[in-house]
Amino acid sequence: MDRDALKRLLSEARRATRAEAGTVYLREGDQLHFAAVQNDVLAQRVGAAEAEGRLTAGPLDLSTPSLASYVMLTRAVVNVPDVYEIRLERPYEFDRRMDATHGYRTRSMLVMPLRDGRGTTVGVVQLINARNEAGEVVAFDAGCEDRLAALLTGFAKAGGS
Amino acid sequence: MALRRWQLPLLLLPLLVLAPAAQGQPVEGTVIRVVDGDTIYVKLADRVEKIRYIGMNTPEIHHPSKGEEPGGREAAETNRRLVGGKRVRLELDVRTRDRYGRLLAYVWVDDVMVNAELLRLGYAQVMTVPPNVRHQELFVKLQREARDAGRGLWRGV
Repeated sequence: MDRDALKRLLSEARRATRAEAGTVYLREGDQLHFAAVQNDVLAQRVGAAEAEGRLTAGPLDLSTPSLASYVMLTRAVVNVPDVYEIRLERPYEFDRRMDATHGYRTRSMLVMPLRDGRGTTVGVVQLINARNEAGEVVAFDAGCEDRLAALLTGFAKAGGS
Repeated sequence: MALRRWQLPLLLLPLLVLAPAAQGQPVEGTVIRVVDGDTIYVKLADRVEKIRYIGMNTPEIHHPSKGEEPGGREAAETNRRLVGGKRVRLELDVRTRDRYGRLLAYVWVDDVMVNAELLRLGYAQVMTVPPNVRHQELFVKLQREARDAGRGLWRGV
């Protein structure tokens, strides 16, 4: 899948939902690989390229109970107002170590499956920290879900380009 | 291969015929065929164009791998009711054609935008393909209302 197209998709998705950060993962075997990473807060601190480099970690095993793995395996949509408040009984959790490493606070998160033109789920789009008009971090609302779903449908229909 | 001088007018032809729309003047024509819920053929003054509605998607009647998708016929029938044989006005957005060469448009019958009407009736889903996002907010709102009211394809969902 075209990486530039995925970067454009992530930028559009963030614009449509006012998300300050996001990641696109692609599945390869039993792992999720980083295909696009953006974070405005870190980019302002260290530059976009440096931020992308720092945030692009090694692949994520699907066996880990991350939100991205959960969405990849279940094809569910997950919308969490605050990832630090995920209840223990949920089948996914948030790993705070990345936040601690980068001095960042992930709060709201919206995660959806990424499909290709045949409807096969090939990866995951994860958006982080929606902002309201005042610039405060808020939860992703139903409109954000609809706009992201519409973008992903369009992306799949266009054959991932 | 070098471009020959005589070929230039042929290459520019699609741009020239769309020029009025690009300048904000409406393109008008008559619907001569309804393919499905989001695609029609329109006879313009000098040619026939295949039109793909912008910003939404309806279930396919002839999907290459899935055959007929649920609701495809209903969506096509509703579209036919809205535009079949009628005079339409085509509003274009930033990108005017898709990779299949179809003209991309918001289709108006009098003061009704058909793209929006199909979403309002619940026979389409919002599908955003940047940069054509002019009416995206309206479309998302109409889809949500249709879904909440259980209209069209959202019935029983």
